[in-house]
Order: sequence, then C-alpha cells, then structure tokens
Amino acid sequence: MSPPIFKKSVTNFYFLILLISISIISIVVDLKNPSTNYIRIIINDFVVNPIQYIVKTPSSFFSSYIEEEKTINQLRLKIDKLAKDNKVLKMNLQRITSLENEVSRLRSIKSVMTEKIKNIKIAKITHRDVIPNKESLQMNIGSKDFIKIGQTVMGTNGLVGQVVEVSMYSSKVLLITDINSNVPAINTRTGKQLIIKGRSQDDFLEISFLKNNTDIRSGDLIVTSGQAGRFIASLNVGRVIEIIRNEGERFATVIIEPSEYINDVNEVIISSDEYKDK
Amino acid sequence: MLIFHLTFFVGLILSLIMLPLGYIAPEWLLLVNIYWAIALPSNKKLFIAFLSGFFVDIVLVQPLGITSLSYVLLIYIILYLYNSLRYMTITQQMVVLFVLLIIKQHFFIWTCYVFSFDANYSALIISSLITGALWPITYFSLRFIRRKFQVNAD
Repeated sequence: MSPPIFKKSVTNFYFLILLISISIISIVVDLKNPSTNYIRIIINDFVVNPIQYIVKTPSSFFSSYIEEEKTINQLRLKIDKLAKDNKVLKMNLQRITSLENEVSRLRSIKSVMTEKIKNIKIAKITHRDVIPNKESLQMNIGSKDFIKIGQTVMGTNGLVGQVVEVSMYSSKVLLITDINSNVPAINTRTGKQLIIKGRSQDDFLEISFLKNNTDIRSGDLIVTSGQAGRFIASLNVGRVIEIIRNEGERFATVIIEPSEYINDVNEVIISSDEYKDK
Repeated sequence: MLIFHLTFFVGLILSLIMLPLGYIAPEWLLLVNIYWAIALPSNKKLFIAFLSGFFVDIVLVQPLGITSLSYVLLIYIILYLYNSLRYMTITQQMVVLFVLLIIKQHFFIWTCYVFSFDANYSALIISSLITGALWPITYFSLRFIRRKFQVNAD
C-alpha cells in the first residue's frame, strides 16, 4: 500500500498538549508567584520599550516642529510679561527677612511631618492609556528608583491611582477612575466607611453599595481611609456632587468628582512604604 | 529565514503602533502567524504561536500564558485544516477565519473566567471582527513578500 499523497496533518498532537500545559503552568505560576515579574521587566526593557520609542519618534518630531513655529510669538509676549514680573518680585524680595522668621517657626511645627514625607518621589507622565481597556498612565521612573507595585500615586490636589507594573526605567499606573479600581475611603463629615469605584464611561467616581437611607450630602469631602494597607490614609479623593436615591432598590447611586484633575495631571508624586505605616 | 522572522517583528511593531486604539486594536501578530501556518505548515509554527502569545501578554499586562494558550489552539486548528483553507477563495477564507477567531475569543474569555479575571466580552468580539477584516491585506502583502524573497522554509 502506497503512502497517501497528502499527509492528514502536519502537526503533532503531543506537542500541542505540551505547549498547552506549559501555558497553563505559566499562568498559575504568574498568579501565585510575584518573582516572575523579572521576566516581564527584562522583555519590557529590551524589546517593548525600544519599539515604543521608535514608534513614538516620527510622530513627535513632526508635532514638535509645528509647535515651534507657533510658540515663538507666544514666547515674545511671555518675555515681556516676565520682565515686568521680575521687577515686582525684586521689590517683594525685601520682605524676605521678616518672612524668614515666620518660616523657621512653622518649620518647628512641621518637623514631625517632614520625617514622614521624606521618601517622596516626583515623576513625569510619558504616555497615556498604555493598558488597553483600562484607564492608565506611564511614568518615567521605575525599579531603578525603587518604585514597587502597589505604591500610592497622588497629585498635588489628591489621589491619582496606584502602581500596577514596574520596569527598569518606567512604570504603569492604574487610575482611580478605572472600573476595576476600588479605593477604601471615609466620609469626613460622618465618619462612614465607603468603597469608591471608578466609572470608566466618564471621569467621575461612584460609591458602590451605599444604602438608600445613609446620611450623605452633596459637597461632602471623601478621603482615603488607609484600610487594607494599599493607599495612604487621609488623602483627598473627591467631593460628592450628585446623589440619586433609587426608590424600591437597596442601594443609592452617588457620583463623586475627583479632587485631582486626572486627565490634565503632568507630574505625580509617589510615596514609599515608610509613609504608609504612619 | 531572516525575512520569515522579520515579518513577525513587523507584526509586533504594528500591534504596538495600534495599541492606543484600545479594545478595537487588531491582532496583527496573530494574522502573521495564521498566514505562515497556511503557507508553510510545520510543527515549529505552534512554538512560534506560543512565543507570540507570550509577547502579547507582556505588552497588554495580562497573566503570562493566557494569550499563548488560545493562540496555540487556533494555530493547531489551522494547521489541521490548511489543505482545505488553501483551496478557498480569499473571501471564503475570511469567513472561516471570522468563525475561528470568534471561537478562539470565546476560549480566551472562558480561560479568563476560570482564573477569575474580568474580560470585556463585546470588546473582544469587535476586535476579532476587525482582525478578520484585515486578513486580505495580510494575505496579499505576505504572499508578495514570500514570492519576492523566495521564502520556502522556516
């Protein structure tokens, strides 16, 4: 009997089984064991980030050229304004001696505070929407600057998010406006414990599972409670702007406006673990 | 040989360019994998599909191996059906790929639920439709490359 002209299949079933079992093992290992993160860091730094940089260069070159033309006139106006401001500032400089005394007095009060905020780092935002389907940011500092997964990221006005992935020179931040992000928080007026969730369809937040008869008013300030040890305590999250009490249902819908302008923030502050313990 | 590997690299670059599109970003790397599996079927394609899935997982910050699992299964089906796929016209191939991609996405969603992850169902289905619609572009450009550079073996 002659062999068939076409082989029925070129593939090996046992090879398929082998690859499938390897992938399942790697999923399980990745979920249970955080040390697999080193593989991600290596491939991110040596393969993905260079490609992202190459891809970014052509488009940024053209946009920067166009911007340059536009901004020269703006710069001239700015120089005039700055020259004026400079004179005013020189006059104000004379008041500095009296202010110095005041500063030293305030410093003694804040000496306890400075010890806590010693370990703060400031990072710049390099990309937006880096994780598909998720509200996210990329910053320009990474594990080289001792950034770790889970650290709180805040702006000058309030909470921004938390670090979810760290490479050598960059790291990714999940924003509080993402639907998967839950922040343990507290209502400063009543002391009620809440869980704040992102909405993803707009830039507002909402409270999940708040009973209809709870005492909450429009304008209440919500701050982080520090429970579960993820976020630093008493950072501003936002203010309540709308309360919809759903008749006939158990839970009310409460809309919160974030304190930080999350879509416009350019620089963020990352705090390290030492601050969280206080 | 070099050209063969370069096409995968180009596929990776294309996926990274379209990353800001979010959930409608097409899976270029998978399309390149499918083309080579039909053009030059061999056992090695399964391994390459596994590696590409690994890269996609790293880029999209998913648990390592969750995409490679679905890629390997899809490429296995294609390697099994490559003789029938070669006889079809490009439109017929596109329709078959739609079906296979949607099966693959359902498998992916199922894996996500087994490991208790959130999967955006409608987004994944839309992305598979877009990926299928891009099949003719991939097919003709890669066929041109294969004939021009005489790629006969991986």
